[in-house]
Amino acid sequence: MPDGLPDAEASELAYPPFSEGIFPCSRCHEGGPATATAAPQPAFAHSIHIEEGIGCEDCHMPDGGQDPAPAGVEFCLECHDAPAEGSDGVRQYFASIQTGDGAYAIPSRWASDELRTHHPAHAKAGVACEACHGKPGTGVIAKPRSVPLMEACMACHTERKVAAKCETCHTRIRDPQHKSIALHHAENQRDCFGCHNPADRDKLRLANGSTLAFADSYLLCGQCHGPKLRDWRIGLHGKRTGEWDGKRKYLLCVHCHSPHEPRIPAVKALPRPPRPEEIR
Amino acid sequence: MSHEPSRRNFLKGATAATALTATGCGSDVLEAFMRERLQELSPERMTKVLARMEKDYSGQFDQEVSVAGTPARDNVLFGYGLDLSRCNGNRLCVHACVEENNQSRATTDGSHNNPIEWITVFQMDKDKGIDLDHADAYYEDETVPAEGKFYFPVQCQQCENPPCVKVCPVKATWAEKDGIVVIDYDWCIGCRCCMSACPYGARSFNWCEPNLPADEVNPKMHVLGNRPRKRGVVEKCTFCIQRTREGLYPACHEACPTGARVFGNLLDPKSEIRQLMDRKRVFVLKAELNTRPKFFYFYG
Repeated sequence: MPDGLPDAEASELAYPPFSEGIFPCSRCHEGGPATATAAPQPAFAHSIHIEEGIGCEDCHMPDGGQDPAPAGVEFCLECHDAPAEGSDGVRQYFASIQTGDGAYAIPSRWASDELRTHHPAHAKAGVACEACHGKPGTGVIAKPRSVPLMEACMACHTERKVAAKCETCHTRIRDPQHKSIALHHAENQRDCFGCHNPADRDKLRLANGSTLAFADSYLLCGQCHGPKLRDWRIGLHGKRTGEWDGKRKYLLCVHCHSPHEPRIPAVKALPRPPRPEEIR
Repeated sequence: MSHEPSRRNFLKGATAATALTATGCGSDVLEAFMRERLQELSPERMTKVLARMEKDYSGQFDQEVSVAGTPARDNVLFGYGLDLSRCNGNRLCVHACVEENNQSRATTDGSHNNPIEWITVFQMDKDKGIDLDHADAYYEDETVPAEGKFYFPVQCQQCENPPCVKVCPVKATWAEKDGIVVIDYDWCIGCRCCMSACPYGARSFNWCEPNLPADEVNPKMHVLGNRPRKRGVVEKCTFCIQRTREGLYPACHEACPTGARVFGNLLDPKSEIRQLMDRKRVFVLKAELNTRPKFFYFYG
């Protein structure tokens, strides 16, 4: 429970309607912390293999570009064929990345459940691994399941005149360019980054530059709307549910006001009572 | 004679024995019938009366109904605040109240069109200000808030000096210790003196047998609150006595989507209503009548 609220020990804040827990901004935007959404980092050093002169295709597409996944533990053991060559470490590593159904949490034919990048098609078209995944060994690839920036995909697709329908790659489209957002909230004085944090898209940014979780967004609103924040803290603005003398739930500013268009829209009223002459 | 005897019918009968024969009811009915006013009941008698009501209503609505008799808490005086700058006239409070408090509803086929609503939302002109002469409770705009209008919900103001209580000839209505003005529906004779005395139009009369479908009943009842009423009695807002005495916010407060409603204990300095009294300028409706409402309007 954040500070400054009455009966802090007994009450709670309602969960914000959107936040990092549901669909983190860093899924699309760079600038999020790499560990925020990436799968657990396998203890595998690309750099060592690069230094040894081993190319991406030597491990990832040994069958001629069908599948970026190495064939499995046996494939690695072909080189690491003795304890002195690290065979125990290889076995441990594969045990650690094994998922429930026996598969390995390493690149597969499709990049992910939501982004359908067909690896064999890209390999066939001569797209180098580095074009999307950065240069192995430089640290850029250190996010094995990271989603490449869409700008990079589109630049290449435009240049090669490849069909670029959204559904070809995206299984789930949630307004990726935010076209549904109309900013009617002091839009002449600021832009998206007046509230959103360009350095970490899963966080907000206060005017003094410090970062703020989405769950504490009321503090951000209060930078401009001080009197409203004051009233909200004491229960005179905003809505509370629960018990009048006990556990209450505080709704945040953004539960009622869209942060992009804070004016409450007009609504349809429920039916009127009958006029006296209509009563039977 | 109806199956369920009313007190009036009973009094019309020559003797208790005649009534008993006519209705064929047992002694517990007679007891419920002959009982004192709810205010005067001893705890033991109250328990019996509540059990009897639960049995009756459970049978009537074919489901388990609980009738609480939760008394007022010590050091609690309920107060209500309403922010007129935020109410947008959506009437969600009105209909949440009807569902919570088991009011009579209109039927869809029009056979019963005397619904009872404890909250009236008036639409008023911003030009004219708060002026009940020009208020319209029957607004039907496509969307609300309508241009140039504001909205003014009125319900029982739970007066400290309630004129309705003063005029009741049978003492069927009174103010509880926590400030809620309640009605003993079994004691009310339906004279409607209280309705004419109330300057806020907050009381409603059951002109016909209420229409309360069994599948719409709220089975959590309070003896002084939302238990079903009969034809010929007066009813009114009780700040959802069945909820507020259990610590919950009233139904209208929960339903309001704009957060215009503030509720709490006036005797608790930390409560929301006291914060309101301490920090904002509030006013009461028709202050000149000295009814001293505990319902405060403000502009947030």
